[in-house]
Amino acid sequence: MTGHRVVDVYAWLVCVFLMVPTIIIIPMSVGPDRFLQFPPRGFTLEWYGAYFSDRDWIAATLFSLKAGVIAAILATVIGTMVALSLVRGRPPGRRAIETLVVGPIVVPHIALAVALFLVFDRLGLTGTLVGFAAAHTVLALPFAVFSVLAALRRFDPALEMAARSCGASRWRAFLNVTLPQILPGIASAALFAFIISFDEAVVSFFISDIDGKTLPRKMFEDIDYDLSPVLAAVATLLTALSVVVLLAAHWIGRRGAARGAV
Amino acid sequence: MSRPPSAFFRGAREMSPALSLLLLLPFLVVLFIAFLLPVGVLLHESLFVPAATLEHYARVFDEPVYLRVLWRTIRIAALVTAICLVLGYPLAVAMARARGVALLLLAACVMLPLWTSVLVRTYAWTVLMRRNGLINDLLIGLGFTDAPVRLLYTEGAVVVAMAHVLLPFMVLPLWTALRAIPTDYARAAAILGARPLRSFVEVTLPLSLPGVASGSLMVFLLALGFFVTPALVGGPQQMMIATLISQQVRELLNWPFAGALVGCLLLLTLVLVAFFNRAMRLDRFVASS
Amino acid sequence: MTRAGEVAVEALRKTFGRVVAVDDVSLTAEPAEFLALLGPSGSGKTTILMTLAGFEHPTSGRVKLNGEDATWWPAHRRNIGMVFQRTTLFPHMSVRDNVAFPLKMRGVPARERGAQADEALATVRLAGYGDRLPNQLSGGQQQRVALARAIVYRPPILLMDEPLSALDKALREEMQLEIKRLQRALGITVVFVTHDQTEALTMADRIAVLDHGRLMQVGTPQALYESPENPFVAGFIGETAFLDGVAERSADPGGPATLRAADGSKLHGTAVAALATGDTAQLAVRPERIRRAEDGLAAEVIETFYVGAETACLLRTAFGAQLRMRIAAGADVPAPGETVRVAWDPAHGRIFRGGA
Repeated sequence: MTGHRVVDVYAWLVCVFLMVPTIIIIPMSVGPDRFLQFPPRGFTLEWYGAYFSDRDWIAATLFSLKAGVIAAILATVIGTMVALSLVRGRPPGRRAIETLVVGPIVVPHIALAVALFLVFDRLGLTGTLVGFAAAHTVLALPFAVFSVLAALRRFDPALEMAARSCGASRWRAFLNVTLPQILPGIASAALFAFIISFDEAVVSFFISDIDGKTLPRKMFEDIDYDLSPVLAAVATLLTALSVVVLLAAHWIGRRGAARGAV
Repeated sequence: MSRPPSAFFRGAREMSPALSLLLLLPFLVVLFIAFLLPVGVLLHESLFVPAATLEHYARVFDEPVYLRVLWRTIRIAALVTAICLVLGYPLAVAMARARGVALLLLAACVMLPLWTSVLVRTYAWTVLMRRNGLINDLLIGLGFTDAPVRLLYTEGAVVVAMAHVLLPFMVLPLWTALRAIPTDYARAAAILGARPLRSFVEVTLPLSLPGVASGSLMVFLLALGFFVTPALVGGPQQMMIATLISQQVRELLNWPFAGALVGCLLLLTLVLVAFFNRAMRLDRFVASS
Repeated sequence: MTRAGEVAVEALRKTFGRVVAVDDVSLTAEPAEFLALLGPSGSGKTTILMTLAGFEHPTSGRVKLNGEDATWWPAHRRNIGMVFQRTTLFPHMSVRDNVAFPLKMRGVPARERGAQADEALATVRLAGYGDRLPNQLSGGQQQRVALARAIVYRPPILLMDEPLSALDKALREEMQLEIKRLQRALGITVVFVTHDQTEALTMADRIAVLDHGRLMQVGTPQALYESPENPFVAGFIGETAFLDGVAERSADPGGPATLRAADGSKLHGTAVAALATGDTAQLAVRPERIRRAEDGLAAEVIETFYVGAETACLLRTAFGAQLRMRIAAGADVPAPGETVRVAWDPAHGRIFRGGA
């Protein structure tokens, strides 16, 4: 089938377009030149060293980590509750709630970012962990809800009924039967909520201040003003983090699938 | 002795409305504080400051500068969407057909960029497109040009970088739609006499249209409000609405006008979503059935 | 030499990696014949059908359609009809457009297409349903539309891949008769894959029984039921009791033979293949052939099941074999624990060499 062959070649070329710009940064990040060169002339870890010894970079990284962990926990817990309510419950105004869930995806980030800037500035929340956690929780919530919803839909409610017929209370049945089954969905929700927060750039750009800024905000500033090779090192580290998160998600997904098959 | 459980827990298979609502409470609180309230306050700013007025909205359409930005935003978003569709559809077709390692690799090529920071990818483009960047090296090396070409801060740069960043959002819905078409359909078409291309045109393509609509809408919407990439790869000549909003807020502190711009962007978004809702079916992720 | 409607595979072999899906199968369906491919899942029956359709290509061997070598023809050039297991009606086309689709592929002008499609719909008794969408039809109606679509262009050959397995029992039986009627009326060759032996027995002119990719036996339903050539066929089609023993003396194929069971009981039957004295062998006998006889084999009644028209008795012989016997309504039914003596006409006890 020559037609299929053509499509496949085209697809792989598109994949090259998708991957190359990011991947090419990696060798550049270990080149000794002040201006990034490809191929790099030599090998140095100088820029990685510079990143780890720069107080601003480390402060921004730690701030992003904290915000990401808090947002991930909040988005996962709240998102699981929403998913349970939608699948098992009969909330009044269900359509409105479903619309509300997708709201943060539909509304452009720039709109939310500016709006949050306006309100947080008045409330003194700019540059604070509380502010970032709240904003990033909202941005991550839709994805957390989708992830848990998908897991819940795959789960056969008859299993929970079976547990209750064996004498388990509703709460025990949920804890001992439903929760372990949907755990992969919850885990991937947490993972993705974290990475959404950690990589979030637009809202961060607006609600950061001098003392409280996230890693993406710091990167934004450096790309705009400086373009130092340290950025290549940071970009490489962030790409590596994405790979780790994706592999973890893949592993969780496979375990989930394997468990579902038993 | 047995007595009926409290109404709160009643319902053999489903939970009561009260419990359902209780589970939603934290969600509603967070969404109100960090989503509905801020957006509401901003829109209020655009309509009622200093007094009830539509003058800020009128300004968007009266002054040619702003109208040009708006028009450019729509044009770039449409161009980016078209490029993503052309690049993404065959990739999605290949993914829907691939198995095993090939599928894993293709999927990784789509998923990894999706979960890599937009800043990392935009940064990569700024490095590649610099005067002494890799693309210029290549162009000179291949003899297309003698001196470095200005790539960064051009509309072409904005479009290419945005298409790169947004392509996964096109591929995933397309892949989902194409994967959901049973392979038996193509087989049935073949045994009924359709050549591969004919079978694609008659069966696969029409059945994948919801995916095309949903991917295109997704990319178009994201492109409309895109901030990071145009701000870093484009210059003042390529200003899009998000950068304009940012400028109004951060440099001019003109909140009412920024609010009006956000209002226009929101309105455009909501109209599009409402119009395409059936095709896009964003709610299918959450809807009950 | 072309023979319209003839379907054949010759020395067909298909492997997927190290799995042998079809192992050296040669098989021919004559023009206008209804051939069923019957076997458990993994027997290779679907692979054979997919090879006939052109969706799989053999590792070795040949596929012949209408007498021509079609092994490497693409599916869309084979001009055969096919009905799939799950509905493959294109959901975005009306019923009429679905049925007209193969005509469109063959360049039939639009006006004639509609008329021919409606005609085909009428033959499956769905006249007037043309404007509906597939999802507005029931499962049985959808498969009837699929059938209309597969025959509308008068292909000489029709392939069916368990087309009725998704339907409930009553509908399935109705459709079996309808497909059979259509096949006779159109004089079309049908190759029909099923794992349901009743379906195969009801519909097919001949049945090919497959197991683990190998052809076990081909024959008319009666031949397979009455004269299975190996224990697999005997056990797979209908109910059968197997009694183990060793041959008392040598026997010719088709000749009378006697086995001695572990406790010394004599088992009389007909040798399927040649037997030598002392060969281990097994005798297969169907429940309806077993009757009570004073001088027969002693067996203890374990349980009896009343099933309306008859009562089934589960018996255990002194050497541990289990067998069933049917007792017609009105006759004496022994009680569990009782010992009865049973026998069968040696012509109906088929003796296979080998066994447990």
